[in-house]
Order: sequence, then C-alpha cells, then structure tokens
Amino acid sequence: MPGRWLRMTVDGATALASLSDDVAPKAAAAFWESLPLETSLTHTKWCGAAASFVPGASLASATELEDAVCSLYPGVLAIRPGGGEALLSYGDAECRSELGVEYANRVAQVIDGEALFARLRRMWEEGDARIRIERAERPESWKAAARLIEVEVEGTKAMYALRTDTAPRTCALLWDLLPIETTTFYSRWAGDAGIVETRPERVKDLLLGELEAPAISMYKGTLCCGPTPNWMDIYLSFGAAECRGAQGRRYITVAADVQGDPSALFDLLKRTRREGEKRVVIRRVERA
Amino acid sequence: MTRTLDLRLGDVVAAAELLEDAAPLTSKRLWDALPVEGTMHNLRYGGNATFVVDQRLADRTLPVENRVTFHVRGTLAFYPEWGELVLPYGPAQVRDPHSVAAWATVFARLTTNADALLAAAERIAHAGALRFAVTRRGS
Repeated sequence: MPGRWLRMTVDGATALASLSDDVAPKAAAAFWESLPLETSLTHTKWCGAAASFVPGASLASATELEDAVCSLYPGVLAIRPGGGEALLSYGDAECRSELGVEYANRVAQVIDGEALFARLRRMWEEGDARIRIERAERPESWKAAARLIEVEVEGTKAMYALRTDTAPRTCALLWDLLPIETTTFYSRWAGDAGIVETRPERVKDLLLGELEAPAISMYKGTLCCGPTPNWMDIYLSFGAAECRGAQGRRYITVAADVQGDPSALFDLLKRTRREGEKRVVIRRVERA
Repeated sequence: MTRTLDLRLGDVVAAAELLEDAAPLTSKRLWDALPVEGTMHNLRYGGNATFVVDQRLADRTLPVENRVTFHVRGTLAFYPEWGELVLPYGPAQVRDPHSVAAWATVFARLTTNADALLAAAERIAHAGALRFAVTRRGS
C-alpha cells in the first residue's frame, strides 16, 4: 500500500490519490511540500482528456526528468520538469504542447476517481473550475481489483491486477487466453520490457473501433497488449519503456498493473537482455 | 460570384467567404449541407482553435484540398474524416489522439467581424461551450 496520500477536490467532487514517491521522488517530494494547494483548473488544449493547473513555486526546483512518461493514464497527475504545468488526466491523454510530444514526471495516481473524472470531463463543456489538493490520511481500504493474474518467470512470480474497467475487451481476451506457457525476451525497440508473443484467434476483435486504453508509455510495472491483425505481443515493463517498432512509436493497450513487490521478477526480466529468452507462465488467479 | 457564409457563435455574428477555387469539392459539399449547427468546443489536442462536428459531413473519401497542418487564424478549416469544422483563434495544429501532425482543408476566410468572433471562440476554453451556426448568406 502506498505511503503518502492526497485528497483532490474539484467543485465538490473528491478523490484520493497516492503520491508517486517511487517513480519520481524529487518531484513528488516537492509537490508534497507545496500542499495544500488551491488554484484555477483549465481543460487542456493540447493534451487530450486532462485538466491543467500551475503548481506551487516549490516545483520550480524539480527540473530533472525522473520518470519520463508521455502517456497519461486515467487518474495520473504529472508535472512538467521545472513545474510550469501540472496535468491531471481523466481519460486518454498525452503530455504534449504546440511543439509536439513531450515528457513529464508522474507525482500522483488517483484511486477510485469516477466522480472526480466526471467533473473534469464536464469542464470541457462548462469551462474552468477550482481545484484543491491537500494531504490526506491513508485510507483503510479501497476497491479490490476485479481479476488477478500471475506472471512466473523461472519460478519467480508476481501478481498483476487487470484493468477491466478501462480495457474490458482486452482483459477478457487475455483472460480467455490463459494459461500462456512460452518464452519472454528483451524488447529491442521498446526499452525495459519483456515481450511475450501470442496468437489469439480473436485478436482482430480488439482492432474494431478505437484501441482500448491507448498509450505509448508503458509505465514500470504495467502489462500492456499490442494487438495486430495476426498476433498480440504482451509487454511486461520493468523500467523505462515505450512501445516502438522498426517504423516508430505505436499505441498499445494498458491491461494490468503489478501488485506487491515485483523486484525479483523484474530482475529476471532485466537479465533477458544479456542471457536471452526465459520461460514464462501467465495464469489466472482464481479467488475463493 | 463569391459565396458568403453567415456565422453565429453565441451572440456574435460574422461572415466568411468560401474559397471555391482553392477547395472546390469541400466548398460544394459544405454549401450543399448548410445550415450546419452544433455546440462549439475548444480542441482537446490541437491547441488554440474551436470546432463543431456534423456527422452528416463525415466522408473519408472526400480529399483534403488547400491543405494545412498548422491552422491559420482568420480561416475556417474542415477535417473530412470526422465532419469537423475548425475555427482557429491562435497557434493550432491539425492533430488527433494518435498523431501530432495531420491535414485539413482550408475552405473559407473570415471577412466581417472576425476579431469579435475569434475573441468569442477564445473564451470557450475558459468559459465553456457555445452554440455555433453556419448558414448561407441571405437564407
């Protein structure tokens, strides 16, 4: 369970968020020191489903790009290096500007944010709002993930929670595909991610309509699915990773998040870079 | 003779001329479809421009004419894939969730009360969406 928590309120709509100490410790610490914060919130013009505000002056010292994410998954609070702008995502969003694609540090992740997201979405219709962010107590509990899967590499295991709310069709296909017993190998193009190749019969279904939960950035600890007409690569990110191929960046679906301490699994995945492919099993976790 | 469009955004009225020579197919398609009405929002990916979508106008087969990727203040642009009319008021680009450089057709140029119309468009990002209507001059 994350250590430090925030409460975000936009015109009465409230959600808790965990501080992302683990991915961008300097920016997160500077943001924590700037709280409480109350300021004007504007819907972004360049970044998609996100609202923006100017964070406190203490963020000016957080100039380092510690995390370097472009995609902003729903509920991510990210701050550009130097603190010029904070972006709070309520859907599919990217860190962009008039210059093109850019990168930012994640400083917090909203938990169970449906009410807050609905209010942020309305800003596109209704215009500016006020946001208040303050420190909060650790919650006693929060909604448990609907489905869990287990990834095992050479006897070392970690659990992943499926994102059934934002990627229901992808998660259903992945669930039906399990167990997968094959090999994982280091991605040549995408950075710190292990790839698991699959050939599901119904993969074309995922290409009908818009790609679910689309992202370029594969946050450390995510499991992402890259459907094509004939196969689907599963990416197990264990560090800085972006979905790229020989022809450049491409979008994938963010399907699951690692739970607990995955460091042993990540060490094994990292070793595939030097040692070559390793056996992997991905299986369902059936709960009583 | 140049065809003229009457524009209304909230309470502001303005006019524009169709660029039939530069964008003949798009101009005809839009002229034939008028009036166009809808709720005008600020772009979410493209910057300082507002837009209205009329799904009747969506047509992937309609070619992009007189094309731009960077919008030009004082013009109206059309994105045929979505049936999207774009009114730029500042630096803006044709973009979508998966691309930071696409193309659109510039099909009209503002001729009357442009500054007031663009000021109203600029306020949308902060004050909220407004109704927008395009009609044929004289209709």
